[in-house]
Formats: sequence, structure tokens, C-alpha cells
Amino acid sequence: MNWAEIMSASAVGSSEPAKLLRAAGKEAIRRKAGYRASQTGTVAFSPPSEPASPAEPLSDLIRYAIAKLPEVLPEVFRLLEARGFPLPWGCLPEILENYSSLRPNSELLGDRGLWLSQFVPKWKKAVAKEQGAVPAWEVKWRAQSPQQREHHLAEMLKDQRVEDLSVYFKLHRDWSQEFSEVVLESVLEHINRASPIAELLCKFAPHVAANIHYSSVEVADQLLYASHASPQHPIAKAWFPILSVRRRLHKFFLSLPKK
Amino acid sequence: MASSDSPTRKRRLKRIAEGAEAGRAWLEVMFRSGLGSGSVLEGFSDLEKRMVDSQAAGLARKFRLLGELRNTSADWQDRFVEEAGLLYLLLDSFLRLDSFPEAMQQEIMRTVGITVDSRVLNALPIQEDLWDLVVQREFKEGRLVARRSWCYGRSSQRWVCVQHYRIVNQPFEPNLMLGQGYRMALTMYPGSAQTRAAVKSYERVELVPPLGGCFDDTAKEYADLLGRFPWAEQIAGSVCINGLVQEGDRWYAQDLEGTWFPVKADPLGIWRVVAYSGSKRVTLFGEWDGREFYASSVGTESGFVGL
Repeated sequence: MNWAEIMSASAVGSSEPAKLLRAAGKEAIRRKAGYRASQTGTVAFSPPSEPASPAEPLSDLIRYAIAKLPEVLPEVFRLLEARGFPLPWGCLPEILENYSSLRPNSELLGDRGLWLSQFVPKWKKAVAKEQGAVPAWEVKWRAQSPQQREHHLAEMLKDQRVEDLSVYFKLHRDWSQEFSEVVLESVLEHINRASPIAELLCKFAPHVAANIHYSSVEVADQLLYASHASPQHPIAKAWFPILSVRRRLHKFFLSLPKK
Repeated sequence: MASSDSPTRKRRLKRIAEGAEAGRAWLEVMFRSGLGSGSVLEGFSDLEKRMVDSQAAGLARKFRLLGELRNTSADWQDRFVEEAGLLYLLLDSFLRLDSFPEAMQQEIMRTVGITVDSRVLNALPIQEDLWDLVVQREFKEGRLVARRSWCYGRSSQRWVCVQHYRIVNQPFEPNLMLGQGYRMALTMYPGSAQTRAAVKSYERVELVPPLGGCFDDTAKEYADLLGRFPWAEQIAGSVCINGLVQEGDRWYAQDLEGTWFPVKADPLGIWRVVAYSGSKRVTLFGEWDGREFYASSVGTESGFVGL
């Protein structure tokens, strides 16, 4: 029995099912063992010729961050931009898949990312799309210098203006060392308390870990140790993985030759 | 069945044989009525339970996978008939186990779900080598997660498969990682296939991914394996590719000799291969099952990346 005969007998049924099943099994082995390529054609994808990103070794780390710790991505993007590196090719599909929420500078995609985005309608649309209008209060906030923003945020922390903090805290990234220490002191003060400000610091724990100045990372570790907080405390749980990824990230950039 | 079998083992083999008889009869009923009469395509979970009751976990898995094939694609019937035929031959073979050489008997028994006694395994010779783990896949099997890892031996120049299980939310032990080299001592499971190994000891070393070849090398290796053990489900391979082409929801890769072969990967994984296309040397690492090459990782001039 050839395969076509086996398939038609299987569809309508056979008075000798054992014989049919044995024939199907033997033919299956023959087909699996004797696979011969029948496809012809030409390679469909001709990428732009550019060298791979020097940041290629960060590919897995960026994919991990996209899946588990998106808070660290703004820093990844900043560090790549500062070096003039495009995103590693290995993480481009995840970046494009989540483009609207991650909002990297489109230059980070490089020629390779822009080329790749053309093949999936969702990606093409996301890259081409203008970002939505920003509310007036946010425009005003963003127009301030980082020093002004930090001054206001420090005031809000001091006065425990939880609602204001909740609105503006998440808009501020890339903190100065001074502001980082102000926030860390506040964390130390409230970590073992039950209060609205303590709740807010728990809620924003990933944001704090991702945005404190890199030179304050050691201080953050010492703070956790000094606080005797349990490893299950929301702040400890959020900080450990983020600080660990940030260390790996900075170690990579520090290992590169100076510009 | 060997005359030295203990009474307990004999009872177990008898129970599995009863389950195998039931499975065979069930398949015969289905193929007597024909797949066109949809009502016969029911009852897979009952068969799976029956096999579990018969202590034939391997057969239970095969019936479950057969049931899962229904309506998965436009041409699912082809695959279904192939797998039903293979399963029938396996049940047949188990029921006349004594007619096979010892090495084949061991493979058949392990495939139906009879594990190798650890004392037997411990008495087998140990193979030491530096192994590079470049292919790895995980599957959920009920409350368990199975992880199949393929390693390529730097001195032995062969692929071996190590399989581990864990309960959901528990770590694998040992936790062998994709993209990692290992200095390992392994014991090959007895049997005619000689692809599956148990880890005796391991120590991490730097990865040195194997060089890729042409697709026909992998296809030939799989054909040889099927010659030794017809129910072998897949073999690992490394293939250097020129690039890819997409046809509908199917992907094909072209090796350096111009041979096209069907490729599958996680949805974003396949685009990762496209992202690297055009690089000097792109090597796909994955499993070939006679139908599709399931890509698990890619090696490029910039390094090794899991898909």
C-alpha cells in the first residue's frame, strides 16, 4: 500500500484494520527516514549590511529584562545611546513585539531593526506610529530641569504627599546621587512601618531600584541589610533582581574600551 | 521476556501487556470505522488512564499525544495516521517482545514506560567528555515539566540526550543550562538507539558550540537511528544556513549546499533567526524528527543565542 492508499482507507475504514495500521506504521518510518527536500526558491530576507551591535552579548539580558524586569530597560537604552550602539539583533523581535510599551528611541533599532520591523504588520505599525499626545501637566513637568524635579519630589517625600508622589515619581528617571540618597533614607525610615508612604515606597520599589544612581547601589544593599527586612519584604524582593541585572549591565559597559 | 524476571516484574509486564492489547483493539476499532466517522475519534483520555493504570507511562503519553494531534492543522490526518500506525507497531512489538534482540527489547520496554533499574545503570561504563549543551526543549506533562537537553561531545563527536523532570515550580536537578559547556561523566542507557544518557557528574566549562554541517548529515543520522530503533522520535543536529523563506505559516531554511528544509521555532525565535540572517556564519541547532527541524538556538559570529 502506498501512502495515498493508506490515507483513503483510513478515512473510510477498513475490514482489515490491523493490516492497515501496520502498513501505516511501516510507511511512517520510511517517510521519516527518507525525507527529501522538495522545497525550491530563493532566500527571502536580504538584510542591510551592517556589522552586528557591539552590545550583542547583552541580548539575553535584555530579553530577560523585557520579560521580567522592564523597569531596567530605560537605563539599558540610555547606556546604549550614550555609546552609540544599536540594540543587539538577538533581542530585536522582543523589542519590536513590545515596542509601543517600551518606546525606545527608534535610532536604537538600527538599520537591522527597522528592516526587521517591515515584515510583521504589528511591528511596522508600532514603529511608524507617532506617540500619543502628552497631557499638559506632564509636558510642564518634563520641561523642568532634573534638579527642579528632584527638588519637588524631595519636598513631596518630606511632606509625605503620597498622591502627588504617586503621579510624578514614575515620570522621573536617571536620578542624581543626591536624590537617590534622599529616597534611600526615606526607604530606611519607612521600610518596617505601616503607613501610606511605606505603601507607596513598596509600590514603587522596582522604580526606585531601577532609577537610583548607580553609585548608590552599594548604599541600597547596605540599607537593606541594616533594615533587617525579610527577603520576602516587597522592597527586598523587588530590589535584589533589579540591582543584580544593573550590576551585570554596568560590568559589561565598563569592560568595553573607553570611547 | 527474560526468564530471570522477578515475580513482581512479571506481574507488571503482564499488566502492561493487557493494556497494550486494549490499546491495540481500540486502534483497530477506530480504523475499522474510518477517521471520517468523527465519533470514533473520542476516548483518548480513557485510553491514557488505562495505560497509567497498567503502569505504562510511555504508552499513556503516546495516546495523549495522538489525541492532541486532532484538528491541529489542515493536514493533521496525515500525521495522525502516521502516529497511530507507529503506536500500533509499538504495541504489537511489545506483545512479542521475546522475538527481538536484547538491545531492541530494552528500547521497546523503556518506550512503553519501564524504567531502567538504577543498579543496572550504575554497572554500565562511564563516558567522560566535554559536552556542549546547544539544544534544549521543555514540555509540560501533567504536573511534571520534562526537559530534553542535547549535548555534543567534543572528543566523542556525537549527540547525547539527557532528560530530566521536575514538579511545576521546582528547579531541575541537575539544572543543565542551554548555551553552557559541561565536563560530564555520562552513562548511556542500554539499548539499540544509544542516544539517551544519565548524568553521573558534571562541572560547568565554557561553551564551544559544535560546527554546523549540511542538513542531509542530520537527516541521514536520523535515518540511521530509525534503522536501529524505529520509534526514535528525534535527533539533534547543527546546520549552517544561508537564510530562510516563509510560506504562509511555514518556514524553510536553506543550508550551504542549497537544500531547503522545514524549520519551526517559537514565534519570536524564528524572527530572531531572520534578524541574524546575512551574518557570515549562521548555525541552527535543533531537533529533527523526520518532518520538521525544531530550532532551539542559533550560533553566529557574535555568539550563541537561545531562541
